Amino acid sequence: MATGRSAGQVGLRSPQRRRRTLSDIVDVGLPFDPVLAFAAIALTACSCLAIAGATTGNAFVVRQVAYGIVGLGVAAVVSRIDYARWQAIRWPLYAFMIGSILAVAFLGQKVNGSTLSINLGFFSFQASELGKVLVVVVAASFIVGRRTAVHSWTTTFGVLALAGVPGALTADFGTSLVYGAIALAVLLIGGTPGRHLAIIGTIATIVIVGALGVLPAAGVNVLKGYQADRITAFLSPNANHRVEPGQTDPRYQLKQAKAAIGSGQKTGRGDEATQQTLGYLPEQQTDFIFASAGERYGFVGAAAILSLFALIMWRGLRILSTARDFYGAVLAAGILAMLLFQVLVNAGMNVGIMPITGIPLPLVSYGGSSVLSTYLAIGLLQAIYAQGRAAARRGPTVDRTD
Amino acid sequence: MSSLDRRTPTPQLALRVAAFGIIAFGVFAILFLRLWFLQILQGDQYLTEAASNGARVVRVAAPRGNIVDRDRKPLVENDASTVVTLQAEAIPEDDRTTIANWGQKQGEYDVAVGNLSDQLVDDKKRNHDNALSATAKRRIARQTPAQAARRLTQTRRRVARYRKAADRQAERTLAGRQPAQLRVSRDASPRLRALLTRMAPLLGSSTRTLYDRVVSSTVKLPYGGVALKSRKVSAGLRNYLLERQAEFPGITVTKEYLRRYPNGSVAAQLFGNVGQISEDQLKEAKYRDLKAGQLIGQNGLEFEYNSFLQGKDGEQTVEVDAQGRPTGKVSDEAPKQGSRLQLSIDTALEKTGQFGMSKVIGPKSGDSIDSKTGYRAGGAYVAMDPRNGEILAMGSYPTVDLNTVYGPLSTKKYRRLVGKRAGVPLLNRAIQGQYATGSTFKPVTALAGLSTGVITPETQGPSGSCITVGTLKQEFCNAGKEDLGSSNLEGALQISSDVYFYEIGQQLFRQQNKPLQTWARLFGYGKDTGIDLPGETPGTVPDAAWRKKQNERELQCRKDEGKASCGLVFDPTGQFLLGDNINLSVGQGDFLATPLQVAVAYAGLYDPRGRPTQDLHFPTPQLGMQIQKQDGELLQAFKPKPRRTVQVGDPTWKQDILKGLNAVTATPDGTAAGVFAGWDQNAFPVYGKTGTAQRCNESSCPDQAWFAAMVPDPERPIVVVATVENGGFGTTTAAPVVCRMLRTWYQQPKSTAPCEAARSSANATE
Repeated sequence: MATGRSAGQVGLRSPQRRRRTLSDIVDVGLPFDPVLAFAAIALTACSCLAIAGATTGNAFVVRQVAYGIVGLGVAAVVSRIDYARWQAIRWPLYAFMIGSILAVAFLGQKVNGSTLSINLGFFSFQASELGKVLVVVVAASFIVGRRTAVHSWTTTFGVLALAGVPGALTADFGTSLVYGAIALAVLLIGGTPGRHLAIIGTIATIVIVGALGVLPAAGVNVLKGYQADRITAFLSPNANHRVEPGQTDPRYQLKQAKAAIGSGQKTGRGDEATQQTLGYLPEQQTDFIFASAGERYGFVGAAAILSLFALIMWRGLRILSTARDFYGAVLAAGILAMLLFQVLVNAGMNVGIMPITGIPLPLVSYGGSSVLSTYLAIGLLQAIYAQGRAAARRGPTVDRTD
Repeated sequence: MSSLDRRTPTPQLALRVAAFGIIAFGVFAILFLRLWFLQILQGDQYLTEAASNGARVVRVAAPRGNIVDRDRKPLVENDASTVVTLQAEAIPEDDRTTIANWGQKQGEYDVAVGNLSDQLVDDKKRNHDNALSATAKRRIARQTPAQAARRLTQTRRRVARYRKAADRQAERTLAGRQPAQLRVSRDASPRLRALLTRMAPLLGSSTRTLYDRVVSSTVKLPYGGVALKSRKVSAGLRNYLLERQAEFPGITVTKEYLRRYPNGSVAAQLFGNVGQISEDQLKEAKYRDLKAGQLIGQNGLEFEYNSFLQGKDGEQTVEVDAQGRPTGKVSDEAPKQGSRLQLSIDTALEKTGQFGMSKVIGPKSGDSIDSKTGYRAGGAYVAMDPRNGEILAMGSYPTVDLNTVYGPLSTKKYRRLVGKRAGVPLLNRAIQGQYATGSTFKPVTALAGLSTGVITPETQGPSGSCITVGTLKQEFCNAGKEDLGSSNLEGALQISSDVYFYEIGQQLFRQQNKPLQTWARLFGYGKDTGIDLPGETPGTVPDAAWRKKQNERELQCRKDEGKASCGLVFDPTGQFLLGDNINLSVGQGDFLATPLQVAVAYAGLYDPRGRPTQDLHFPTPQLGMQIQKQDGELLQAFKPKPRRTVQVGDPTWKQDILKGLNAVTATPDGTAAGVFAGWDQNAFPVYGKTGTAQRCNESSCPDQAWFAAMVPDPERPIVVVATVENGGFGTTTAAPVVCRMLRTWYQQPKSTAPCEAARSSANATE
């Protein structure tokens, strides 16, 4: 295809720069992965069904549909752009991300005690959600840019710092963990020595055990009581714990989520789903949307959602291994880690095997920032797919292994 | 830009991508398995959990069944009232602990004060027996009756003052041990305090009052709800609280039923109270279907017939959201009122009995304080149909208005109303009072003597006022040491000659098989009568074996409690001796029986008029006749139990005894002739016996009066027994009560049966 060739030329370093047109950047003729697209759209459909059941009125559904459509648009545009362009503007992107997170921290509105979003009038912008995708882009760009020095600790620390700074600035503990997961995946696929990974893993384990177990026992409370309790509650769901005034009992939330999911049984309770309609299930359209869907549609519904995520993972891993270049592979790995980690923690929290955190279920939980950011990520995956397919058709013209 | 292009991954990268894939696969595998576990394997359990989540079950109390008399006139009914309750679950655990600890300390303190007070009174030798010195007693004996009465009243008042002073002194001495009153500001948990503070203005009382209610109710029933307001709850308040249940967690507004007693104090001891089921009762099999907070009969008939009277509480299931707000979805199970219980009681007869009692020991009688105890004087009466044991009347005196004592009442006031000094008005003396029955026992001695051949009906007894027995030359005398002359059995019963029966007792003691005790037991003494009331006492028929056991108990008690004497027996090495048997022959000594047992014993002598039989037939007394629907439709009838027959050796014996008993009321020499003067003996022959039982060793306190009567009317036969604890001679106080009851039962005019006590009658010696 002629358009494919011209796109390929864009990717090459050409000494004489000519003026770029929009068609140089956005190549409409590129192929896309229909399975990945189907999985994403199906998840949005599931999300709308689940939210419709979990909320009264249609305000939430309408907005979620709108977010989905806009998100699809974003994904469509991003998928037509060569992802390598993002590598070039990684530092402006990073600056924008840090700036937006700081803006939210200082100007944003408080929800449930933490400042996560800034009201843009039509839309409540959650910088840390967009930041997840941007961190993937920047961290992948960074490690690929330092390919020759990938064995040095500087590179490893660089990646950790790139993810760690926004992670530390974000007020939400769960989101910080997502940043950490992204950094680990980028390091893993980016070629960091196994030794580094082992040391990082060991230190992370020591820090977690120390902060939650050893130090409180020694009298030093790293986290506030209720914070630690939220994290460890799922380990002892039946324990009788004192709850500080103003805090909800995490065990109550866990119990209600499990009761909701469990009571769905095989095919769900349909309109008899009292856990969500009567408000026993907390955050039933955001954090606990999975439990909500599990109660209303049963094992069938919940398993369908998990299957769609599994489909995305499968396609994602395929895209990773057929990426045009190393940058594409690392980028895909970061995106996949971001999605996988959020699914694990959110769904795991809903079924009572993970701590309670504010991490949404990608595409399914209600929320514009999350939906748009996830579609942005899906778009990037599609772009990697498109470039990979285009390069494969072109043949091994620029096969350099560095 | 894409200087780092690569198409074929290095082996190391492939390995890492594979690792990534395995992690992803593992994550999904775990999530799927967990989902399967929750939804498929444990789904039922969680479905139950979710279903019960949104349902609030509100118990709707069922009214208990009414209790009616034999003419279906109401004795016990219900009053509906709206009650604002603080549920037991809403009381924080901290408060529960605080209150329980305080209750225990307070209980220990109360016991200590009581003991010390008793000790102080004893130390000062100021209890009533000792309040009158020997000289004072002699002086009283010389005074006119009016002066003596005044003097006795003064003494009684003085004793009462001593007691009060002793109480106060004991309280002062032990003041340091009294736990400080719980105060809401200091002892209540913030949560409870906040709730009560918000409730107080709504209920029109202070936070302190509400907290006191929580404390007193929780001390009594640790896991019962607390009625914060049970009277005059307006519809407005009710609706206000019901609409804002979420704002008042643990507060419920329910319709409860309180018992109402149209006759107030009549037969007050029979019914028993209704109260919240206790923790221990919840564990009992018969209360298996009940839940904490439900009401059950705690004693008396309410307890005995609880399963019929109980009814079935309704349940109102209200669907509520997570904030506890009702969603409007309601399912209802209506409460079912309990069945109606019909008693064999005749209300008119019951009222007469109570009136008769109040005439002799009522507040206006002048004898309302028992000079032995210094407390309100007591008595009891029983009327029974001898054919089937149906109880026609049963009562204990003093009595108390049940509408007051079973209503909302402070502990202190309750204690004052039903305590020792008030004469324990809720004690059913008819089945729980154990007394020496005096001469009413004599028919038993007579039959024992006749059946062993010790006497024949024509045997002439010893003359003289006393008999002397044994090597110790112990003297047993007639009451007042009067010489009643020699008489046969009929005459001995008629004039109640003690020496006649002493003689029988003396001779029976020598017989191997203890015929006196055997016959006492055959008459039903010494064991429960089997009436359908809880708490009946069996009394005592003393014999050698009993004395031995009593000695052992006394020794054991002395050892256990470290006291010099427990008062069970005077001398724990003593035996059952001849003198004891002689005492038993006239219903004295260690012999104890309840008024109901006496009634059953006399019912055994009943023969349908004109059809005399040889044997004795003892009915089983019974109060409950039928279980009915509220409209009176019969559900279940309680058939009278077959009478217990005791064979008598000779057909004339019973008739001779009955002749003697009839002579008691019908002949001028009879001990109760004065009371029954004018009674229509032809229409309603009265077979009666007076009894006068000593309660004190010296004559420092009045004897206990007894009268038992049986009228073998063909249509309406009846046995009536009355006793007055400080009544003196049987004929002066107990016989008039019986006479009045018979008058009511047979609707005799007052003119022919004045039933006046013959206080000065020369015949009324025993």
